[in-house]
Amino acid sequence: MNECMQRAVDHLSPRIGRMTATKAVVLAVSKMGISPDDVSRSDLPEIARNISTVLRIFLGSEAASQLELDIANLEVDE
Amino acid sequence: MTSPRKTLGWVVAAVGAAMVVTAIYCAFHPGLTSTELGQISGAEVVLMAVTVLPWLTVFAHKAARRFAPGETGSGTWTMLAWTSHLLGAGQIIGYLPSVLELGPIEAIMVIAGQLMPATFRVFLCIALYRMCRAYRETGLDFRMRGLDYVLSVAVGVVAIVLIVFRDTLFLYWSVNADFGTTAHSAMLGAQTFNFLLYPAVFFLSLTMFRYSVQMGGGLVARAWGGVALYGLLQPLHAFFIALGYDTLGPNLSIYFDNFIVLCAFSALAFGPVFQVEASRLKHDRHGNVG
Repeated sequence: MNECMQRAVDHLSPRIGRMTATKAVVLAVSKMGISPDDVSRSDLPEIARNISTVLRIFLGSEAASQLELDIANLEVDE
Repeated sequence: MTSPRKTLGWVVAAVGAAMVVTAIYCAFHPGLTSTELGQISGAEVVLMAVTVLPWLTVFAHKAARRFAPGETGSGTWTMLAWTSHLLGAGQIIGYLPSVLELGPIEAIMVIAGQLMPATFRVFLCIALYRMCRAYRETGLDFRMRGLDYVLSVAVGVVAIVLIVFRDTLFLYWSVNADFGTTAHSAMLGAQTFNFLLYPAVFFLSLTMFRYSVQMGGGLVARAWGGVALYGLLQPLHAFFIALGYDTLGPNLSIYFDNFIVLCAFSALAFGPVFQVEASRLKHDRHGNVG
């Protein structure tokens, strides 16, 4: 898992758990058709959109929207 | 630790400490009669119902409001919030006759004390089923293990044991209350209905507990894990009563079983507190990394 994915997982983990966060991000990336190693900062907004369904189930719409925004705007050294 | 969680923790600790002190007091006063011990045991359950269960009601409503109407979380937390009144009131109504002399309505109260929590458990099953289904629909590979099915079958057997020991359990729930023949039959029917619910409650609670473990920590896992823990402890409580109450009487509750009840109620009350914390909107100033 590269730095971008790791940052997204770290951000989600306190609320939805590390394993759920990891699976959700990996699933989101696979939907995008790219390799986990090739995920870049510019992919984060789409990853955020792809995990929105999962976040809504666990956290509700408002918290999910905020987390999506957080993920989309994460700053990562690449 | 957030303030509500901390406060609830102190409430549970205070109730637990009071129960420990009570147990020590009873140990040093062997002359207490069975009626007096029954009053003490019943009072402990009423105390738990009054101090711990209202947290479930209040925070389940709060948790439901964190979800949009139509979302599974909204429906399930709302359902638990409204039906939690039945659980709380059922405990008070059911155990009060063991504490106070209430006359001919005692039998009705004790029967209601069976049926009201049973109704809560029916809705708990619906809530757990809906959440488990929502978990699976995420596509994140939540699943039961083989051992879980074995345990669920074992609890099915326990339910049969409870039905066999229904007279012992009748003694426990009807302590210090007067029962006529009709009321006795109605009470046994209510108890049997409760026992038949246990396997369903246990299976769905175990499923949710397993999914919570598979989440790998986090506040949501603690929320639903807490609710599930109640469902796992409830049959255990009845099982211990069935096996030991005949021999040990109210001492079993004072020294051991009421602590299981406290754990079960506490787990249930902490659930929505964790969910509210998980769904809380927070501007994370440290979200930017790198």
